[in-house]
Amino acid sequence: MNEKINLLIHSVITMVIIILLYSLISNLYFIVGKENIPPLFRRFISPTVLPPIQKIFSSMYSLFFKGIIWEHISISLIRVVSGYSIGVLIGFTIGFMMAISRRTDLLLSPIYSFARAIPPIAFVTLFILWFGIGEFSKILLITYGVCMTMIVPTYHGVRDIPAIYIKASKMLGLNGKILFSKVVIPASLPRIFEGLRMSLMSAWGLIVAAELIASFKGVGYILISAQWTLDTPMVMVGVIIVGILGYILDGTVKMFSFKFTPWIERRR
Amino acid sequence: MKDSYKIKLLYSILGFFILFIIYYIVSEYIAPYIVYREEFIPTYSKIADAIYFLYKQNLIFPSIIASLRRVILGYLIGCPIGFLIGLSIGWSKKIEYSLEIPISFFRYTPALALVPLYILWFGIGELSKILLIATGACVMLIVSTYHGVRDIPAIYIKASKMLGLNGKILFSKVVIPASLPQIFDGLRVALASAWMIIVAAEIMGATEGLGYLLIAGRQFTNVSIIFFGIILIGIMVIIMDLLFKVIRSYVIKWIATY
Repeated sequence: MNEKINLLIHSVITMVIIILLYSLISNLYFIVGKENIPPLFRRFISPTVLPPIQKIFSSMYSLFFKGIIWEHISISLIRVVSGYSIGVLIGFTIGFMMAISRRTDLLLSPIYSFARAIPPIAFVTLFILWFGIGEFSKILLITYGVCMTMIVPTYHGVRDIPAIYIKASKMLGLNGKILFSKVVIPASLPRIFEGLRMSLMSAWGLIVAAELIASFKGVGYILISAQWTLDTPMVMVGVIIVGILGYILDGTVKMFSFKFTPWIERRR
Repeated sequence: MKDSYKIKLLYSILGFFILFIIYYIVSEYIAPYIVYREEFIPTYSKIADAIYFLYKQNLIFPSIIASLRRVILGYLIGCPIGFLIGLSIGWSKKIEYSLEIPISFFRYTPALALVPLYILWFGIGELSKILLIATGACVMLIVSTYHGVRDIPAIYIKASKMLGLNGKILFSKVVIPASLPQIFDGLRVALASAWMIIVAAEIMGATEGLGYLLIAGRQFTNVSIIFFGIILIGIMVIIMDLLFKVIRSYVIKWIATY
């Protein structure tokens, strides 16, 4: 408890210092006057580079209270969630197959280890040419990225189950389905949840990048359209929104992992 | 269950061979029926043509070198900074508490979301790309160094303090070697993420580099160029990863004997 209060005090102090410092520096241009700033610094603290803090707040206000933002956020989230759920299913299946069958493992792992080296974002132009700039190519990109990240943790999670567990449960007469749902899945769940968290973060990065490259809606579109109009405060607000949404997404999966694998000891 | 080297090689050749055959059949016989332009699934001869074209235009090696330079520069700038920050937040509770929020903000913001901001701040030239990679690498290193330092068994620190080690030697002989495995994991992840960032940044605005090959292929609607670019990126990532593993084994040996 003491630790939590300590953390709270310290982080509040840092945030206040950061905000105060930023508002001072960003308003220096107006307080001191443009002519009094040395030309070398003038470039770095001009309002297009460091917009005054009140402008950032007014952009935030206009985004949230005119209600434009919710549409963009919901579209990005729908893309992420649909691509993520398909990708997790496919990745889990492939990883599971590779873990239980030696032939599949030998056959697929060389191809997989090459494909994994390619950053999924490299496929964005290919998917745009093949499937257009619509929803399908974005969801497919996320599905691919998530699938690639899910294979490794599933594979290791299932393969590293101590053989004695399987042998013992077979000896006690468990057949396929129950063996799978009562022994294999719980034993590999901690690793799978690690993979789920990793792949959700990669999916979030991918959708933002894909929306930056080609889209008409979504959080990434807020960023890129603000960049086109040199609207720095809006870009900053967009980055903050992306960060907060990423935190919420990760927190959701973390919560599920606490709920489904309560026996794992965790540090913060 | 250890498989012999021979069986592994045999199976991997078989796997790639099956893949090539499937692609051959699809591109030669099925493609005309499923895509409205045949070059969207190019045949092998068309891919070879594209590679020859890129070679003639002298685009292959300059692209590789341009991307490689950005990745290495950004990596070399970002990693030491991330290492120092990670070390300090792992070591001191006060710094950890005060930097908690800013760092977790950067952790949950994909580095790619910073592209528009960096373009506004530093222009579309080299600087913004290098700093973007530096940011991504820095965040990765902060997290892994922090975890590495935090997870050192307290007994190591206590014992060495009891034996009279002071600040500098404590760090160089105990803290850093003990957290090294985690730091190396972070370095490796940072390298992979640096490639991801550079590809995306080059797709969004560049005049040379491997990502530029992808965007050029899209502009000419030439899928062969995109295929070749993707494969080149994969090969580069694998080569860098192998180099990294070699360096790591040397460094760990050096630390162990030092």
